[in-house]
Amino acid sequence: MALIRSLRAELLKGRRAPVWLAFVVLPLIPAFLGTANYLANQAVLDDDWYSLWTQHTLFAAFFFLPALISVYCAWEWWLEASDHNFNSFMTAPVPCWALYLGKLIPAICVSVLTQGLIGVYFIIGGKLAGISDALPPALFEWLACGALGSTAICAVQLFLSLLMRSFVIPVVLGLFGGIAGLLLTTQGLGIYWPYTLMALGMRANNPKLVVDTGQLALMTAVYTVIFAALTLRLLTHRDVQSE
Amino acid sequence: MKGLRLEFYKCRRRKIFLLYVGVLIFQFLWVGMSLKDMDATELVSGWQWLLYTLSLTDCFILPLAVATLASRNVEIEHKGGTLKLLETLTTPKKLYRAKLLWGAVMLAVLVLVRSGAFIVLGYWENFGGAMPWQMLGRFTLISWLVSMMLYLLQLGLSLRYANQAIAIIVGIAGGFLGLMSLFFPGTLRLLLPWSYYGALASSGMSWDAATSTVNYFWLSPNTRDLVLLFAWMLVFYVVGRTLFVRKEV
Repeated sequence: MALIRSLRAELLKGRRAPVWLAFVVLPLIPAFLGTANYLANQAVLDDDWYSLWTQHTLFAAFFFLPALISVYCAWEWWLEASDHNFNSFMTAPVPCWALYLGKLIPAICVSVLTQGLIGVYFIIGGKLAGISDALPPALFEWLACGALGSTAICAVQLFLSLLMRSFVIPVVLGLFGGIAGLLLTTQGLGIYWPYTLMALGMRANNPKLVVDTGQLALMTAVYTVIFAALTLRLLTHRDVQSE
Repeated sequence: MKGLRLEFYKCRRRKIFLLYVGVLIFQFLWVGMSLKDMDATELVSGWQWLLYTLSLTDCFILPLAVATLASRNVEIEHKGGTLKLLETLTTPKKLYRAKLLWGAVMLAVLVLVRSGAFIVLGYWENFGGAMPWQMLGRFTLISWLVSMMLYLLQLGLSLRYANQAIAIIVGIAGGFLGLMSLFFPGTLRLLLPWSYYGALASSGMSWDAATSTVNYFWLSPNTRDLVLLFAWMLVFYVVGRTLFVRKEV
């Protein structure tokens, strides 16, 4: 019950905010450019849908989406930090865990929405590029695993944004997390780094990559639980300063 | 002058050097990783290669750094509700000018430190030929000019909207477009303010498929691109400043 109430409150807060627009419009950029790049380099990219997927997702999954999710998480706390809202947020008659889930669940929903849109843009891009083969059967799995992995990013970023009280710095950290993830993935350590779980789930630079879904889910759960616990600890133990 | 000094004073605990360290680490990692795979024959055109690689990474990292810098400076005014107070002491025009000058100094420091660090690296790695001081100077100047153009855009956005998400999303999208713009044809690039790091690069690369060798060469920015750069600056300055001056605080 408490959870439903805090979710409804969060929905109200976000009702007129145009932040979701960024998630609809911005993935158009990698989709558009990915398709253009695919068409320009068809000599090298000859594996139809699979080549197109690498073009659509490589930059998006390592640079773009971690940063976008970070913006959303930062925005969620920014709402509370402005105009003394933290005072009323903390005195709401619901337990702290419900308040926290009221932040985490919308962030996850937004990243699920983004994955869905990436899928839609991917199919449109492929049709426009004139790919006539059947869709890759694993497309849904890539998107679902990507959404799963992004949960870890949401949890980490909600923690960082609450910790630092600054809008921009956690976002920059999220971006560097994504870039560091690219380096770690080339070393084969991607699965141990929260920011790469989404890219691995999406098979961002290699759609033929075999990913152990069980391990992916486990690592996501580990990071989510650890950072949820840290955030709750911070929320319940630190004095509110909303200036 | 007082206004400018106050801007530095306001930002003294804002840990802006961490942002600089981040930019430098990112570029050093990028350059270092490519450098590892190069042999002595390739290092003959080391300076051209270095400036080419740097303008490539600039396209991505500097739009973000500039957005962060502008937002860090302006965020405090929104958070503390200080604009109301400040505008009883000074005019919004003067405040805008102080913030603009502050950004100019900060960005100059960033590009100078960056160039200095990479000159040391090139010296250390024995890049071929004499030190191309003129090219290095021009590269530094162009990095600064393009960054200032983006700073004018970001300053306008950060001042206009208290919600810094807007300015940061523009910065992120810009960095991404800047990176992707390297694949665009020349004229299309000029429509994107973030792609000028690449459009005005000091050196270029050509790939010879027959012998599979890479050649680097110096480039000089053409007048049209420079004029467009200044046109963008003017647009962002006039629009950003007007919106701020007329803003109800």
